[in-house]
Amino acid sequence: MERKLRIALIILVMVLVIVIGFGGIYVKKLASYNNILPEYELGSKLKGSRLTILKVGDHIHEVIRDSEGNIVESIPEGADENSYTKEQVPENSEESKTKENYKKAEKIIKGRLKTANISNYEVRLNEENGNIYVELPDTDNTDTTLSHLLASGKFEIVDTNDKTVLMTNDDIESASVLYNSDTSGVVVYLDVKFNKEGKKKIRQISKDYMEINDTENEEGTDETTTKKTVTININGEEFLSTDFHEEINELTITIGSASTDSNSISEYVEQAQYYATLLSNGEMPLEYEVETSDYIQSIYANSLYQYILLGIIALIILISIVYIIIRYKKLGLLSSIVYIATIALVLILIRYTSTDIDLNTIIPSVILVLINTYINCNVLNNINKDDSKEDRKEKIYNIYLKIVDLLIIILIPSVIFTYNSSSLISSIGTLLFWGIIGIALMNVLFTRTLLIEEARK
Amino acid sequence: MKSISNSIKIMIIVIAVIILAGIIMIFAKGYNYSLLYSKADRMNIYMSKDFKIDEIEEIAKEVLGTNKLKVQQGNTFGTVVSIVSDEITEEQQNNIIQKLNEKYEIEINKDSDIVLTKMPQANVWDLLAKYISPLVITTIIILIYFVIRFKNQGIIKCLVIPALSVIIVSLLYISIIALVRIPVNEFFAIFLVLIYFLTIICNTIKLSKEQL
Repeated sequence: MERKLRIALIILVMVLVIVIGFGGIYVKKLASYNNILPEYELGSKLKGSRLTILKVGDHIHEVIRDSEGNIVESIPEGADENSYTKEQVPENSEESKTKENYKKAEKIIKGRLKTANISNYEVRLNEENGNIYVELPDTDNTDTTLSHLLASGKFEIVDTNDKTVLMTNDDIESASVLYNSDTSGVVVYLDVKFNKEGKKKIRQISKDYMEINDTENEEGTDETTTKKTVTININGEEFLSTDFHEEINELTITIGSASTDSNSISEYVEQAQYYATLLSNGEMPLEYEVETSDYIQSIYANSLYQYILLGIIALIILISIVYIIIRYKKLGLLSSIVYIATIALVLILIRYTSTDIDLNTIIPSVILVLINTYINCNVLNNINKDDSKEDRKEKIYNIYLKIVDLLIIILIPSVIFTYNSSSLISSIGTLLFWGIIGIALMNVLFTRTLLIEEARK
Repeated sequence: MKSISNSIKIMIIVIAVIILAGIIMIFAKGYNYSLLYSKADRMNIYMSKDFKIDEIEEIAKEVLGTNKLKVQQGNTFGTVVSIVSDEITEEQQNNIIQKLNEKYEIEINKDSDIVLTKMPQANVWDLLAKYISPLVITTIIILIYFVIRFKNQGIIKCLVIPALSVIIVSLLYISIIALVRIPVNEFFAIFLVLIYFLTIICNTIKLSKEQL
């Protein structure tokens, strides 16, 4: 009697998990019942994404030159207009519109998206006209990301006085964001590393532009200093002017000031990340502009497609369960109840871990179904109807030992995938991880107990 | 024993021929991309009225005279409908506009409400790129695990065969897709990763069984 009660109790718990996993927990709020479980989160391939066309800029700029040929912003009031010349200059010359430059621009855009940790992007180049098609997940930051893609990324260190160009993008190896925490708060830095040639140049520049003591009397009081400074330009705009106090190999620039305010810190980090992204990927060879940028629903946003995808996974599960029940009868039925409860448990975990459900979900779903079926079949194959409880305990224990390797092998990619920057990849890892944990727990705690309790002796 | 060895030889030859033919096909003709991944025209129409996607699909099919098209709905500053087809000529664009104007009693301005984009073809390697580094790291760690755990079965069984099987099965998959001209879309990479995992699982089960 006690044996039957234990079996019934486990089945009851399983049914409860199944009901919660597939249905949810509904609580009355005001006039309606609401599910208190978190909603499933759909990925961009099942919802939609921002499709943007970047086209090679075709604007014409008016350039004004004075009598000496210098470019001026505008003709000063009262000046003789005849001594100034105006010319129409396209933002992208015809000579610059080459296949090589189009490919370079595509490479830089991909690099910027990667450096900025934007996942699930797609970039395609029309080699005939240089147009670049960019598909991004539609988030609050998509417009900011797009504006970052359009920036020229031009980097220059110039002499502040005579504007001689001392360094350019060609000298940069990479750029990154660094942090330092001290008593006054967190300081955010933009760290620019240079290549071999760049290191030589920055060493020389830091020597040449060091603060120099010109005169010094014996008491060391009346001294004058000469400051030679350099200006760092990014995107054609002045970023900062500075001199150097020591010889350096890399450039570490403070962004903002030391702060304890999390909003300010994240703002500085965002700025630093923006510059790091630009500087790490070089200067755009052409100016681009947005032609269109629309949120377009995925073809799989149609519920019919989603039901078909869901139906395929459900069919694989159904076939597995029907096979187990037909092949192993009563024992198969008991295992199948836990099998379905395992799926329900994984569904609950998906909700709580905010794992994106996307087309990629097919991968972990199929793997988990196959592994669970394999474990159940292995266990059921090795136990007999007439086994005593002790025999079953030992047999099931031995089977679990045999499949430990399989679980470890699936845990390896689940961890590696989870920590991938692409949410598409990490969702595969998360689902695999929780799926394997769920399968292991449910089998050890419930399938095993049910099968042992089922033995009469 | 001899017959088994012969059948293995035949299998190796067949696999090698398929892979070779697939590689030749990839270099000669490339992949057959599905519409949304191939070179196509995308016509975005900014609508001032609500519409049903099925109705627009019907109009597009009628005007373009093909079933090979996709109609997607969108939303930015208003409602957008996006028609994708191999080619949408000037005349076809005008006809679509005319029919939409008639159906929804609106006035679509061709200059301001229509954007036609020549969509470039996707690159199959771009579809696979994001999976490569996690799969390479996974493979290396799994092979190290195999060598440590199953070293008594010999280096060939625990390292060479699993590594080769993963490479061969993956090559076989991409060759078959190229040869059979199955349209390449978002599922191409998904099934490749799935096949990779199944190969790893089969190798693990085989090694575990032989270990005991």
